[in-house]
Amino acid sequence: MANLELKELTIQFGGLVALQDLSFHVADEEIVALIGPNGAGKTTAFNIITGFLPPTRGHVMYSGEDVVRLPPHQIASKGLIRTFQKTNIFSSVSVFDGVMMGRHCRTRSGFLKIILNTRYVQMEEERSKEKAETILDFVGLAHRRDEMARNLSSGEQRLLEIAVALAGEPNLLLLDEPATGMNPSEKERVMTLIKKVRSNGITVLLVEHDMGLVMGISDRIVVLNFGKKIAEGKPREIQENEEVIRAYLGGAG
Amino acid sequence: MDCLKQLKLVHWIGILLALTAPLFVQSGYLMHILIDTGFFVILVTGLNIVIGYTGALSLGQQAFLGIGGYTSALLMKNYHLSYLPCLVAAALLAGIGGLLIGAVCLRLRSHYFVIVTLAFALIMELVCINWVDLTGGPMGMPGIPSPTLYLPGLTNFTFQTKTHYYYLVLVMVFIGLYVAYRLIHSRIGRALIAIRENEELAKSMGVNAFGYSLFAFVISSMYAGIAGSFQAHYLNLVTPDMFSFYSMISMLLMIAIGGKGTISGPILGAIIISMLPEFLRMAETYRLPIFGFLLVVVTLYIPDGIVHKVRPISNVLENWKMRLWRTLSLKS
Repeated sequence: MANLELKELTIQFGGLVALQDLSFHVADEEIVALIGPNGAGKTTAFNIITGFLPPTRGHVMYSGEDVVRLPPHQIASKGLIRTFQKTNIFSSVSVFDGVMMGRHCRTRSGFLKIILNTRYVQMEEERSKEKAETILDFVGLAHRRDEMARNLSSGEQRLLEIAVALAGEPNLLLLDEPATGMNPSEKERVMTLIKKVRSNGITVLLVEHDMGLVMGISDRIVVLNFGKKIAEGKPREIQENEEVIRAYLGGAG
Repeated sequence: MDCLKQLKLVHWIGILLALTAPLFVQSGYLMHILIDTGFFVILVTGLNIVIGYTGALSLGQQAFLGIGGYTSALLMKNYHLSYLPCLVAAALLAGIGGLLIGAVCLRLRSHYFVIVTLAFALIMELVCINWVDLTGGPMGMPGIPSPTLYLPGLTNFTFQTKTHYYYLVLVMVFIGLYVAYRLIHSRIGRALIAIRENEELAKSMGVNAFGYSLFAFVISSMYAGIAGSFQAHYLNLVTPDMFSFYSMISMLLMIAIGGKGTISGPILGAIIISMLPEFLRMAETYRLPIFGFLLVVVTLYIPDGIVHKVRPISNVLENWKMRLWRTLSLKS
């Protein structure tokens, strides 16, 4: 059974059809890339999957359940966690505190227990802290632990976004252009990181413009152009696909 | 009791001063100022949860203060309940008010939210003035009985002197601060800060932004309700003035000057705003202009709040404490 399955997803903004009958699936522990020229509808697809936009029609099945029209926070609680295209961090809290905020959907303590500071609350808090430290180690930001998030370099901020998302222990991680604003060595790092994430059993769906990165780590690639899927396949097949080349280079149709 | 370990030397000094204040403050007027300060500490600690942590500027807090005051006053005057049930009812009714208003207002963004909360408080003031049968109208309701602490078989104590009231408000302040501390240093507090920092990201991390904002709003209304109840019985009087915008301005000043989004900031703000005018008394007629000038200076040069300027002093004290500990442990 497919982990995530998009079924004929369509969204219209007035007369503009931003996505038309988009269908594809992401299997468990797969890395799938969604690529396409600017304005192809990649981020729109992300926004629909994570509940930030309601589609005009179509379904998003996750583990056999339709998650379309659930609010974002409920989708996150189901283990579908995203990052954003534009750097999106909790800027005036420390790196560590930001990651702790990412633990929200994996913690349960309620108001009364918190006020009474019960054993359960203390244990949960301990566990969250350990987890946050582990994740900071994992993405390589442990040495920046107490730094204010806004003081990180743009590359580090992108890593922090991934760390915050990982703190929610996603089953499916959606990365929107994770390598934007990174230098070549940082891109290298993020590639290894994504592979490590997958080897920890997390499925990854990513949008990315950097073809080196996309071709290097994806199991499968889905290509969008003007809101329609024009190709789907393994990296090598996509590289040789004529329609994809035309879409990118804009050759005579 | 791990939260006691978190307390620094400055906090202990503060607690000690607060506990012993009636010993060296003789004047009844100064005691009144201290009690008033405690009252404001409760109010702004609650309001700070919304303004400082969740990041929503509510200008309607005085409405919940009034609801709390009138609820408590009416219950005790008409039904002769003892103080504790009145206090609980005041908190609950203010909380319910917060729930209804919050459920409407929090759907609005930024300045619309500010305006609607303010409008709500103004409406409450008008209702209070005009519903003469219930509230006594513009003159208010005098003769609210003093609070009694009635525990069957244990005690039946009536609060009468200023010192009694001082310790009553102090207990409330300690409880209020403890609850706020616990809340802020928990997953709920982090969710609130996440909403303030970046609502979109908070949602994508599983935070029900609307739900948590509403929760913060309700909790903060309950703080106001409790403060209102205290004030009603302390002054033995409730008037529509409780709903006036002036107390809201004082609260905002306290939070802004002390340092929003910190627990100790608003306490500091409350102490400064309620006490400074008294210390400036020697300047006689220039008292208020000087006060106003100081406010402007502080807002211009310490926009984050005074609490951040006090931290270095606190750290120096911490160092002394550590050194003292070390020498003591070496000797033994």
